[in-house]
Amino acid sequence: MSMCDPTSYARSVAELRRITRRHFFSECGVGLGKMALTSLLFGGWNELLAATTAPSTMPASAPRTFKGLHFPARAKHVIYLFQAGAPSQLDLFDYKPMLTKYDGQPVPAEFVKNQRYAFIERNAALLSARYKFNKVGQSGQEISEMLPHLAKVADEIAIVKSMHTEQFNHAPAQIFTNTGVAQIGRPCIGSWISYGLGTENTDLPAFVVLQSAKGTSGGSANWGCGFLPTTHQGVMFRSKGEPILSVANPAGIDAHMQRESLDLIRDLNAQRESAVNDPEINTRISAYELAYRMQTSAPELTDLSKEDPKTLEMYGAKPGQASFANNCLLARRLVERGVRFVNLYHEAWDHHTDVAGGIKNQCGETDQASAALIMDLKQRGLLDETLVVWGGEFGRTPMVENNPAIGRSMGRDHHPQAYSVWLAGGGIKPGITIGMTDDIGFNIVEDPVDVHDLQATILHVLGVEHTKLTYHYQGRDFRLTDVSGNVVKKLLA
Amino acid sequence: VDGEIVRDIALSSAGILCDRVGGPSVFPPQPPGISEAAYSPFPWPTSEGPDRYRRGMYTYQKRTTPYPMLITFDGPTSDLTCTRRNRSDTPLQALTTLNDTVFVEAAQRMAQHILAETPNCDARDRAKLIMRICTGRSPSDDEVNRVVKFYDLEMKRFTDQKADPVAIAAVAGISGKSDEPELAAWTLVCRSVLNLDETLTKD
Repeated sequence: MSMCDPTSYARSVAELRRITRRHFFSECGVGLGKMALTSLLFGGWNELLAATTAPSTMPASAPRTFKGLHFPARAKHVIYLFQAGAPSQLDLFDYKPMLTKYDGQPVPAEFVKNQRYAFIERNAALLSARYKFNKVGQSGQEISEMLPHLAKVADEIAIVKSMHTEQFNHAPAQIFTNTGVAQIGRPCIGSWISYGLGTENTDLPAFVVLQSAKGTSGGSANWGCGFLPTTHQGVMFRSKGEPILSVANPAGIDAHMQRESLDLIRDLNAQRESAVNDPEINTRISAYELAYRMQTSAPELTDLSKEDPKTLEMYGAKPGQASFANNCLLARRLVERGVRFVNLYHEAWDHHTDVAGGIKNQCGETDQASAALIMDLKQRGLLDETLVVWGGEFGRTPMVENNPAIGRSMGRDHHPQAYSVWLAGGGIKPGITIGMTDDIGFNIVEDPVDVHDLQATILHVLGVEHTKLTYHYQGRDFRLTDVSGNVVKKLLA
Repeated sequence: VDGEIVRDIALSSAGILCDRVGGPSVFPPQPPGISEAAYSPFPWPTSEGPDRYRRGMYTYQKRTTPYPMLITFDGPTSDLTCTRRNRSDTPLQALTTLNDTVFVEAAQRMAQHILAETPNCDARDRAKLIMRICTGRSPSDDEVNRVVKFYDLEMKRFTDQKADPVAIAAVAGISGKSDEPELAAWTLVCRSVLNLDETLTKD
C-alpha cells in the first residue's frame, strides 16, 4: 500500500480503527456488533455500559409490559428498602397469639433442638409481641399498630411471612441477601440488573445506593459488582452535602471556567484522536461530557426543596437533612428519571435490647416514608412499573434476650429460620400474605421462601430469567442465584 | 492504567510525588463523610507533608469503606482475589480527576513549579513545557495555540472580570502574591492538561 494513494490510505485507516475497536471490545468480553447496536439505541451512560452489558434474547414485548432481557417485564425499576440490622418480624408482621399466651415461659425443647445462639441460652423464655396487631384494609392483612402508615396501603403490598436465610450474622447475611453468596466478592443484585438491563437515563448511573442511620455492617460489598465490570457498581448518592463525590467544582472555579476547561480537554483530546486514530479517546471525550452533564443535573436531582410541600409532608422529608424519609423521596425522583435500581440502606434494627423501644423509634423513622413512597409512586403512575421491596437480612427470636452483664434486657437475638418481608408494585399481586410460621414463629410451616427465591422473583418481574443471566468468570458461568432459586409464583400478579 | 498510577502520574507531573519506599499506610485527602459513614466510623487523619503525596499503593485500606478514588478507578476491594483489574472509562473518573482535592492540589503545585522555574518564558513556552511534562512528547503548534488561547481567556476572567484567583491557587504556602491571576490561570491550564486522555493513560 502506498501512503500517497488516498483511497488505500483511507481504507487502511478504517481497517486500523476497526481492528482497534475490536481489540478494545474483545478485552471487555463482548463483540463489536453488540456495542454498536446498544450505543445506537441509547448513547450516554449506556454507551459506556454497553460494551459490558448482557445480550438480549427477548422477543418483541406485548403492550403494558416493558422490555425485559428474556421475556416482557412487569416492572422496569426496583427500589429496595433494605432494613439492615434485621427488624423483628414478631412485632411487625408475624402475629403469634401463642407467644402472648406463653410469654415468660421457656421455649419448648422440640423447637430449639441443636440451635445455638450468639447471645441467648437455648432455653430462654418466650417474649410476646410488644405491640397490638390489627387486621387492616380490604385484604385484612395483619400489621402491627407500630406501622399505622403502612396499614393504609396494606392493600397495595404482598407480605411474605416465610422468608428464611442460611446466615446468622449481619455482614454475611446482608452480603448473602444482596449477592446470593455469604462470602464477599460476588456481584450484588443491583449490579446484575445493571449488567442485564442497563439504564434508561443516559445522564445517571443505572444503580444508585442511598444510606440513612449508620453505615452497613456488610459495607461496600453490599453494592459491589464483584467480577462484573466496574461500571455496574452501585454509586452512592448522599442526601446531605455533595450528592455525588466530586460532582461540585473545586473552590473558586465557576461554571464558565469549568465549561471552558472541558472545552480545552475536548479539543486537545480530539486533536490527538485525529492524529493517532485511537477510538478510546472518543470514549474519554464522552465520559467527560457525561461528567459535565451530571454536574449540572445532580444538584437539581437531589434538591428536595423544589418538591411540593404536600409531598414533603407526606414523606416527612426535610430538605437538607440526611434521613430515610429524604432517601425515599430521592428514590422516587431517581426512578422517575429512569434509574434502574435504587438501594436504600437503613441500618438501625439490631434490637438485642429493648426491642419495644427500638421498634417504636425505627418505625417512627421509616413507616411514614415507606408508605408515602408507595402512595406517591401510585399517584404518579409509577407503581405499575416499579418494584418496591422492604426487608432485612434475617429475623429475630421468639425468645427474649436478657443479659445484665452487657446491659441488655427485653431484646431479641438473631433468627435466620423465619422472618418477614413485603413487596409492592410492578408484577406483584397486591393485598396478599403468603407463608406461615409455627405457633411461636420459630420455624416455617408453609411456603418457605429463601433468599435465592426472592432474588429469582425480583429478576422475574424485570423480565429476566435468573438461570440465564450469567457471567463467565474463572472458567465457569456464575449467576446471582448460584445453583438454586425458584420464582415465587404466588407473589406474581 | 491502574488507579494508583493515575494518582502517581498527577503527583509526579506536579513534581510533588514522594518516592519513599515502605512504611505504614498513609491517609491522602478523601472527600468528607466517607469514614464517618462506615458501620464503625473510623478516624481519617489526613496526612500532611511528604506523606500527603506518597504513591497511591501506600493508601490506607478499610475493607468496608475503601478509598473512593481507587474504587472509582477499578481498584480491587480487599473482598476478592484479583487476577486482572477491570478496564473502564466513566464520568465518575472524570469528576474525580477534575474536582478531587488530590488532583486540584497537583494542578496548583504544578502551576507553582512552572512559574518558579520559567521566570523569563512566555505563555507559549510554558504551554509547551506543561504538555511535555504531562504527555511525554512535544506538542504540535495547533495544540500550543489552543492551550495559550485558553490561558488568555482565563487570564481575562481574573484581570478584566475580577474573578477571584486566590481560591483557585490556594494551597499551603501560596497567598498574597502579586502574580496570583497568572498562577490561577496556569493552575486551570495544568488541571486540564492533567485530564487529557494521553496524560491519564501514560504507561
